Amino acid sequence: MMPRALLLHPIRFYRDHRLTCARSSEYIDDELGVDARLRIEAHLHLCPSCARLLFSLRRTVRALGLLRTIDPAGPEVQAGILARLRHEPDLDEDSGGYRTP
Amino acid sequence: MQPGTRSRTHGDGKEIVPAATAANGVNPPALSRVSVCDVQPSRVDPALTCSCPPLRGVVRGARERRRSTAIRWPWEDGARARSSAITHRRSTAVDDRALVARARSGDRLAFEALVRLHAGRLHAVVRRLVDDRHEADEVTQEAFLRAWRAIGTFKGDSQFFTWLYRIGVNEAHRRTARRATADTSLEDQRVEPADSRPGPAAHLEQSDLRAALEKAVRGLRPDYRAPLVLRDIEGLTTTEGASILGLSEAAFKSRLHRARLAVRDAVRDHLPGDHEA
Repeated sequence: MMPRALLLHPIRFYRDHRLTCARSSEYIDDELGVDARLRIEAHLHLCPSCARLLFSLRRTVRALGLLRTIDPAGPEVQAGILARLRHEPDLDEDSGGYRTP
Repeated sequence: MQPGTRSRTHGDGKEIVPAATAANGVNPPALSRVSVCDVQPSRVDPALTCSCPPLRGVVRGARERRRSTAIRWPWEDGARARSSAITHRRSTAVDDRALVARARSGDRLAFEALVRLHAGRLHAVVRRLVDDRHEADEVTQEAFLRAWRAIGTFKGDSQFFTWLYRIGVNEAHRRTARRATADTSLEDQRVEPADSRPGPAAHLEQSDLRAALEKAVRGLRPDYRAPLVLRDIEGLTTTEGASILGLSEAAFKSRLHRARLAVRDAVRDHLPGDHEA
């Protein structure tokens, strides 16, 4: 554990603050390396602003899960796709470029 | 083990049998089957506890009591729904491979099965990337038609849905860009996004938070919106999302972060306790 005085040194604090602001999403998603994660965690104990940022960001991400719904238009969309698909030529025919999207 | 009880192993959980009843030689009814991970020491009824290490604190109805007393946040339900949907999607990956192999050989029925598996999901994604439902229908149809025509070029390096989403997202971006160009002359007259009227999600649940989230997501720039939709709403991984959008993972993460910050600012008033943190 790094000494508190060192973490509070203005240059170090500023760098950790920027790191936390820039990479808090990666921290939430657990996609950071060990070094960056430890730096952010140490900084969070000293910086209420970053702690608030992380708290609110985490809640926002969780809340966004509310928007995940199975689209009720699924069956209609399926019917439309299948209808159009039946007018498509078979793949094993010489369809001249049909295999290219 | 306390003197008043005995236990018997049963799969991954254990049943507690009161010794007084068991001593009669009658097989008593099982109290409950609760795995050790359900144990909450603070709520343990001493009469029903066992001191042996694997079974410390097993109690009747612990799971039910925990459900009734735990604080449940609405977005946690959403998170559970998302994770179950992710599990479902991954479980269909195996089916996808067999269907894709048959579709590649020209089996139309196999491709129709893929349509049934993925149409609703793809439509939900596209719906958030284009301005109205009718356009989302068209984009989804077009994406599947393109996928059918190009199924021979799909090598199986990525999962089928990743490849399909890429086609759908590209088509959505193409349409959005075309519309943006066409609307340039009308820019001054545009007041609200075209989809500010109640959409299907709003009909499902008219909560302020959901409405605010919908509005915030729709207000994002398209290049920020897509990473957020894929990662936070659809629950894809960063690798999958970056692959679909054709971005490096670093670029994907950067856009995702900016999108999240924008949404956070937009819905700040709707998240309880945010200001006190």
